Amino acid sequence: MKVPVSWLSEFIELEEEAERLAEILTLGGLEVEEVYDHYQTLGEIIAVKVLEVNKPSELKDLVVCTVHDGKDSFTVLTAAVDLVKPGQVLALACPGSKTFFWDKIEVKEVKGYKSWGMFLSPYEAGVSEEKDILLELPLDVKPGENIYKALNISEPILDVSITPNRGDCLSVFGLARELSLLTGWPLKELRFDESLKEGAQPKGSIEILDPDGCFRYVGRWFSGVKVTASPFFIIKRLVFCGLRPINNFVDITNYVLLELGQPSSCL
Amino acid sequence: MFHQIEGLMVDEKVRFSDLKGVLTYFAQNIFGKDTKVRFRPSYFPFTEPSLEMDISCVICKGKGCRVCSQTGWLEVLGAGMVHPEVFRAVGYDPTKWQGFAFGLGVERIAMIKYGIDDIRLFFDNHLYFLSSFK
Repeated sequence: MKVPVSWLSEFIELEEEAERLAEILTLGGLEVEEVYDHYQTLGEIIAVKVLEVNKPSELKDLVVCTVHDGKDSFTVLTAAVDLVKPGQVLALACPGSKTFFWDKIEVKEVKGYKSWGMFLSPYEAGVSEEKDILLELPLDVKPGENIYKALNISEPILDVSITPNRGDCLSVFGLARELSLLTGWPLKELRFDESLKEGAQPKGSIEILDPDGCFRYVGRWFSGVKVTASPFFIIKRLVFCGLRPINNFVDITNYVLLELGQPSSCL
Repeated sequence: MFHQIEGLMVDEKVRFSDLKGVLTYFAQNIFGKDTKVRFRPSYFPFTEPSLEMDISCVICKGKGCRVCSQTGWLEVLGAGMVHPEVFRAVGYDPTKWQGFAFGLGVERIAMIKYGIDDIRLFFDNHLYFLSSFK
């Protein structure tokens, strides 16, 4: 089970770094198979300096940018026609790498013009929710440097192996509780401060057709809600844990499942 | 593919410390008397409590290397006290009998002991490889 250390820290006062947490959990019976930085698993995503921007007439919605990565110059095609300017330092996902949302980057060619990678938006890089701009780095960043190291962005993840007898640890909070018992570090209280407005009346009714198979059904009826994309912090945490964000309703059920171990379903 | 060897010790009085002692003795006799061992809690359906044993990495002697993934420890076996349900299933009264059990991979132990890096060598039937074990 993949757990971001930052999520764990919401439930327990951590006094050690990821590597040492892994050792504590392993010696306590929950073997940590791997400790890694999520952003370093995406592959080669580097800062490049934009040298030239050209708009050949045969390319309709694209421009050809000549960039330098500290070693070589090469061309990258982009549709962000109005956003690229010479002198910028942009985030480039190189062929062989993946975006934050698992899109594989390859060498592309359009009408004879080669694109050795793709510029990323902050969203595609997993940095922020901004989708309509290109991720720009400070001008003093060295071309060729990994963008996450340059921006000081890291997300240490523990991949914990949960044995079948420890279902209580199949959640961020469950692991925090176990860690608190192993170390004595205080467990932060679970708070559910906000309560939902009562009032929505369910349409229709629920009937349990097999009371021996299902002796209790608990549900909550919501009205006045809309299916949209989830807030970025939820999207990020789902991706860190290996889940795919779908929409706010599906994502909430998965988020609560990961955080508290409570499965639920949305109809 | 690999082969697993399992051991059992059953008697009227067998203790968890007996298990740890036998395993420690085994490790130090197979891998060398300076071998350090460490035990970690684990889980197997047929033992309670269960443990896993690691030995200090034979390559780097605990400093950290590629073989032990920088941890300094190599996992060698799993073990535990036989679960009372297992005794019941074979007609032994669990209030009268106790025991421990362990399981290890033969090839893995040999690879660690002799520095063999490819498990397939055990199954290639290459006479040159086989004849090196006298």
